[in-house]
Amino acid sequence: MTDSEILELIRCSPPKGHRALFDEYYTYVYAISINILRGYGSAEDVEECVIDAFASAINKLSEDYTETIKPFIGTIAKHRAISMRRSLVSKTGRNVPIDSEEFAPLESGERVEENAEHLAMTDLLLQRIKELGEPDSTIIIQKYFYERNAKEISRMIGMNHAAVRMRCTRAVKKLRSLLKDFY
Amino acid sequence: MKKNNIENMFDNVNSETVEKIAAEYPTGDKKHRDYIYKEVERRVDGKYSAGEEVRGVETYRPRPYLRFVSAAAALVIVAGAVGGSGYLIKNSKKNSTSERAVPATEVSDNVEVTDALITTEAATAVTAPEFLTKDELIEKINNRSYENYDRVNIEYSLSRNNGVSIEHGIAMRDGITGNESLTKTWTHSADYFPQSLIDEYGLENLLKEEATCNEMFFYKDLYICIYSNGTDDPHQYEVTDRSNWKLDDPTVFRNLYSEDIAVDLDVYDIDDTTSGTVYLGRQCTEARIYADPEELQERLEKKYDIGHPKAITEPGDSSEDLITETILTVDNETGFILKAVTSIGDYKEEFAIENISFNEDAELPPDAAYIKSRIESCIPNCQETAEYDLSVLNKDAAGSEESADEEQAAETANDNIKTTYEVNSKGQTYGPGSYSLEPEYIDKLPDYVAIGIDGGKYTGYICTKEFLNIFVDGERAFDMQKELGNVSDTAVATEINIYDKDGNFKMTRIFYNEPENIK
Repeated sequence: MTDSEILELIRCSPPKGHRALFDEYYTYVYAISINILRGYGSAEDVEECVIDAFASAINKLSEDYTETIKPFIGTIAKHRAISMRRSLVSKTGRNVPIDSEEFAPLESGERVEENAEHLAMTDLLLQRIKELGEPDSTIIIQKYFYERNAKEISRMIGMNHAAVRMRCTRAVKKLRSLLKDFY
Repeated sequence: MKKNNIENMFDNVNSETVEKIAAEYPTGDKKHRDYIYKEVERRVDGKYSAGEEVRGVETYRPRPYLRFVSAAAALVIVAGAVGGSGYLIKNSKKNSTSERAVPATEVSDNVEVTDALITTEAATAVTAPEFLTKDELIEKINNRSYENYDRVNIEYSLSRNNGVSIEHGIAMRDGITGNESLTKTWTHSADYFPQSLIDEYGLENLLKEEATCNEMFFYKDLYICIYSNGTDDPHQYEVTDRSNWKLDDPTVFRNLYSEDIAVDLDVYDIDDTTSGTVYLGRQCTEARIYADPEELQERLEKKYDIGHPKAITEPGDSSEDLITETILTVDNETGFILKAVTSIGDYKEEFAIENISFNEDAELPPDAAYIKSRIESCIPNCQETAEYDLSVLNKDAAGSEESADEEQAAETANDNIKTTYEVNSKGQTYGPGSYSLEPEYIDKLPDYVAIGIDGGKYTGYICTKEFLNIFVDGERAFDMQKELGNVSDTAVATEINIYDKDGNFKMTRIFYNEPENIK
């Protein structure tokens, strides 16, 4: 469903429009949230952040909104996740690394080069994950990016959880051999 | 270089990567999404008027976990019909001495049934299954002696998720040159696709798009992979340095499912009792390996230092009494795992070798000329690939073409043979025929072909045109003489004139032929 269709639906029938908004951007918001909260919060914290972000977006999304939704909802999700991370950090006493993306980037050429290198490595990582074939690549992403457990993954891809674990372990081994220089 | 923990592979990924992952890999099943959305609704409570309900907006598209051929990366895959099928492994003489190979699917775990299905000769050769003890079996598998053969071909199928997805592969190794190839093709049944996807894209399109194939060539220092699928999209290729690629380390067979099991035998429990069977005409040993899934996971994580993501703990699941169990069929001679059927509760996956052949029975991996021609019909998957130095491949391919040219030259030389025939007093050519005595070579044969009849008792010449005007196939006319003359009730006796080199009549001889060979 396109943004304009979602916005039109929101104007005609807000509940349906909001559900459409949620369905279209759930993964995106979840991905932003987990990426910022990784290592700081639990799965429940991530879900709380997602719920909060959508509730906030729906409340802020006026009927006359006509812009692209993605940056709008992405920004809300990012701010909510950063806010939640600060809250979690204050409880645990952990520090947020200064090199995290949320901080203003340093402007040195070295930093730019480092970022480019990191991006290239991430691209390579995603490429190699794809090359594992399915369902292994999905299992790896769900497990290590979204931090889903085997039971959740098993429901998503229709395998039992033990089979998911077995495939996951083998896939990680293979991935590590493909990325020997990094891991 | 400092190594990273693989469980932290997604630490500090940037927004762009997050977006890519979100677009490619949806998360959360519908039930869970519904639960989350209810919470969202609760927080925006009051925004809806009474009686308004959220129904009928099922726009959730779980972009399949299957969308692996993206325009950008185009990594995986293609329909097996491409390329690889041209290199189907010929049936191993060791496997089957007749023309008929034994499909793995026809061979059950039961010895008696297996014997009944293999070819007669193979069954005769292997009548009393012998088997390895548990310790011998482990040693054999770990020795991987199949890698000592100069040439090995393996064709296999791997059925996952109770047959919903099938991987078919052909692996070839030339131990002399070190060149290898591995073609993997994936196909899926309709059950593989969520209904929402089928509704949106249509089953036929999905089946085509996800019928994917990787043709991987490990040629000298090059790794070349051609990705394609069942659609009309152009095939893409990727080239990199072979040393960067570990899928053939140390041989391409280490990339197969059999190796997944072989390398982790130590983390399984193995039944002390083994039994003998015959599979693909080879003496094999069957054994059962098993483990509690929880324990197996722990052992594997410990062995490979694989951890869980930091924030999430994996809940135990001791309430479900599942056992991971694999029945192995192992080749007694080489230790290769020819078949492995794994079941975990209601989940099942089955790996089965369909053909295995060694040395002279095995084909060589595709050569430079073939790989080059495949690349020429594809587009590079990125700029780096487009600029990759393929001079080694091109040079070797050119060498192959030169050889082909030499063969062509030899053929051309043969074409000129006719000009070397002797010419008789009437200006007609005569001599031994350098080509088969068949109508298609009539222009290349002399006017009179020298022959010997009855073991050389009579010699002379036949008039080529006259002879071929009588018989459908001149070679066959000669071949049939002795046998038909003595035993056939249907053979037709045909008189043939014999001449001298100048075309003068010498005698008439009777040729015996089946009616269908007489014009």
